[in-house]
Amino acid sequence: MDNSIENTWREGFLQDKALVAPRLNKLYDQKSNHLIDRLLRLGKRNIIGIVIGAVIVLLGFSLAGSWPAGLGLFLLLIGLAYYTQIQGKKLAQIDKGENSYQYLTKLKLTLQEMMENYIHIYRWVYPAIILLFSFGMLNSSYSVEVIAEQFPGVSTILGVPTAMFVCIMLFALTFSVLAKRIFQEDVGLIYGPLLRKLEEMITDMEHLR
Amino acid sequence: MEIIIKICRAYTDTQEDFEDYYQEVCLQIWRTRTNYNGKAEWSTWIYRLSLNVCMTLLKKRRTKRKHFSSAAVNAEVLSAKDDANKKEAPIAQLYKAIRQLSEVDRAVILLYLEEQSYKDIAEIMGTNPNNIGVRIKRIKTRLKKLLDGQLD
Repeated sequence: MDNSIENTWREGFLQDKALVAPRLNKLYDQKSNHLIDRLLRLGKRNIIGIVIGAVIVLLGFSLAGSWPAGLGLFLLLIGLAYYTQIQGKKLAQIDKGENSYQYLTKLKLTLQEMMENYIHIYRWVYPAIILLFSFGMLNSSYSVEVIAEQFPGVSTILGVPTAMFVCIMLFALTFSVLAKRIFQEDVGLIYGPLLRKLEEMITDMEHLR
Repeated sequence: MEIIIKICRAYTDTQEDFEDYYQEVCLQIWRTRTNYNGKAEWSTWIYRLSLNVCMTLLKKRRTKRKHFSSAAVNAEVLSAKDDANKKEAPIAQLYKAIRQLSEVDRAVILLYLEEQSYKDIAEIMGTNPNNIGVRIKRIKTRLKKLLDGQLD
């Protein structure tokens, strides 16, 4: 039997067509379709996450007695989810009929364009989230009591002690100034592996061409 | 090129999967060709890379298949049993038996059938040459049982 296994193996490849290599041409078509599907799926999950976060924030702040901030954050996040959905449609609209290289190059350009748009928006979104969140927290029924107790007679702006107000504003301003960097880190965390894969595939295809 | 085909066949049971694996192995060889430093034989390097890619892909597919319903799995098993009843070429039967081995056993037996020395097999698999002989003996016994229909 020892022999028969070895012989079966040796003889098996002598006569039949078992050693015909498949063509490699479809490789990148499959890979690019797979990549775009994953990007769209991840985008969808991201939107769902934002909407769930918006609802939680609305409920949380309302329960804490600071519903205007909750409503503000809710509207901001829902707006962001809507904008993300519109941007996602741009990806789906890229013509898949073209060859993989053109398709992936277009995809990369579209993603870059989307990133630029997002950076402009996040210059406002980041500080808005910080301000709404901070003022929402500090204006909750519990915080108002604590502030009144701990800092009696201190000057306040919008119910927040002035020094704290200045700190929050500076913090929000910093996020606005560094929006590009923060956004890139943020995107890198979620979409980083996929974007690197896209870059890798385009480089491969450029070499192959 | 032949060895890539042989390895990919041992890790896949459909033509579609085979083409995917083959393409992935070729791509990885092309991508990592600059990492080849000439210390080992070129063929050893190809064996190692092809086996690594196939084993990784198989593990990934297995994880995905866990999400299949048991009905789908049962259907698959039934269809495999139907296939087994049909008259097949000896090499196809041997492949079918090899596919029932673990990833590592498949790699070991493929290298053995490709007439690699125990030392080379041990080097490719990153293990001790002394273990290879024992392992091959055990795998061949199992293959024999599978081919004789003593095991499912």
